[in-house]
Amino acid sequence: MRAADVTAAAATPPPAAAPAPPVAAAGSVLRRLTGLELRRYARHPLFLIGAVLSAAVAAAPPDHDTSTFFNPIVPAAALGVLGLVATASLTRSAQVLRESAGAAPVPERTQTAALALACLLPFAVGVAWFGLSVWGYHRQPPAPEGFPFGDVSSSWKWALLFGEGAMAALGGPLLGIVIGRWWPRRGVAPMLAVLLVAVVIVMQGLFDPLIRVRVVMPFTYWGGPHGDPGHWRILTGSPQWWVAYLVCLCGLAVVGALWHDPGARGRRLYAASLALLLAAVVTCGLAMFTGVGNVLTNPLPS
Amino acid sequence: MNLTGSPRPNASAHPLAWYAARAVPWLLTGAGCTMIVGLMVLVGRWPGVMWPLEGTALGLLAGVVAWANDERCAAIVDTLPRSLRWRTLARSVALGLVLAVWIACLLAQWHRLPPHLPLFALQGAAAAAAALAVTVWRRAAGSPEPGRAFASVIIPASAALALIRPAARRLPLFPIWLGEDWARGTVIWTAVLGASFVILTLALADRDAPPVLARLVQSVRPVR
Repeated sequence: MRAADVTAAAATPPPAAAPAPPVAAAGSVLRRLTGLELRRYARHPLFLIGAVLSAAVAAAPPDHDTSTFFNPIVPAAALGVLGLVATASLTRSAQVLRESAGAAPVPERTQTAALALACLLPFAVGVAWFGLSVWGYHRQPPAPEGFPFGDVSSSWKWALLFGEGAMAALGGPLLGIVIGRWWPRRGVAPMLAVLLVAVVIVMQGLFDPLIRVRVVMPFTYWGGPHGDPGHWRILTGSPQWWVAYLVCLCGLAVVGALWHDPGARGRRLYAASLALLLAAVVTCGLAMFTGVGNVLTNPLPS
Repeated sequence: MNLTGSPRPNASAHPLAWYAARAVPWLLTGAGCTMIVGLMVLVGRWPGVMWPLEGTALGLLAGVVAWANDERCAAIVDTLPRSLRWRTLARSVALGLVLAVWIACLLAQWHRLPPHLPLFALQGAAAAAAALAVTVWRRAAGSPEPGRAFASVIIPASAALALIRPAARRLPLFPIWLGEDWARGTVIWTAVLGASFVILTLALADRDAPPVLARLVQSVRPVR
């Protein structure tokens, strides 16, 4: 983003002819800042790389055994992991511009809110990916001996695709804002992204002792190959509640980023953070202990 | 020592070593090397499952080399008599260290990895050379901190490519299974290494020297 864009948005007062109420003025500033941050995000090389990667892989036909159910790793990696580093960089550069401006006329929380709203761009791409995945599933459903199998509900399938794909495309960039606000040092965001990838791979359900607790992670698998070729398994838990848990995590990320501004730490933010934290604990527990009770292996015993 | 790189009277270290000890971001380099070791331990323990971490570690390796070539005070440093070539040579200690860590990881786990150790070593060398070439080229063009931008792209992009493995048959960047095209992978990484050397040579070329073509012509037809 050009410095002029930020300073213009930050310094341009509302029209002087008809003084607007403070709330309306704040809304107008937020809208303009969000537009600027959206443009900055859309031009960021990491977003462009991620979008191109996603589009390239989306063009591939669905798999015979699993249809599109193992494709959400693409938006998760290309929009989530890359988005984490992208928004950390955008947040840091916005902060540098704020500091160089001296007394910025826009509070930090407004800028954070604008950055968070800009994350709707990768989320929109993730939702488009989700739509394509559902369409691909209907066009070429998995083979009966493939994944998913048995009588799992449609909401189970859509929650899996939405949580692993679209929610990861939103959660990664939001986490990047938190990192950019709290740890704006060189190298922190890429290294945390690497750590996140490593932990997520460990917790993707491939190790039996971790199958139940794997749902605490922002990305995990809900099934996978089971030893011999042609054998698949469905892992325990409820992807529907997991999506609700991810929504809470995204909310907590926004609260965590806003918390950096001492002026934003009012009673409402405090209450929102407590409510989100409580909801996250409850939904995570529900994702862990409801839904599929035991690991199912294909072929199911008749 | 003063800013020109001349040692103080009581400084016994070689100017290159003295400069490297202060110019390289050792905290980032150390953290990066530690993470590479950790990632490769996971890869060695469960290669079939953790293989995306091999590509991720390669991206981190490139990032560490890139960070070491950032010169925050470029506006001052560029005016001093120590050339970019001299400074790059000093900062290359980070490249040597991270490559040594990479090779040590491979040797320590060679019996657990696919039997293509030379390719894995080539991957490390090519990733490091590419990072060095791009950052030195950008430094020569006047950018003070090219490593920060390069590392911010290459680390997450490597992780994403290793996770997604797009067009793995035609573009085997991080092959693992025996049926994959290992020869093509070797060609790709050799090309990356070769291109990096060319870019590095051009970036570090002496700007005051006459162009190569002019020197060739002069050698054939000496000017009277």
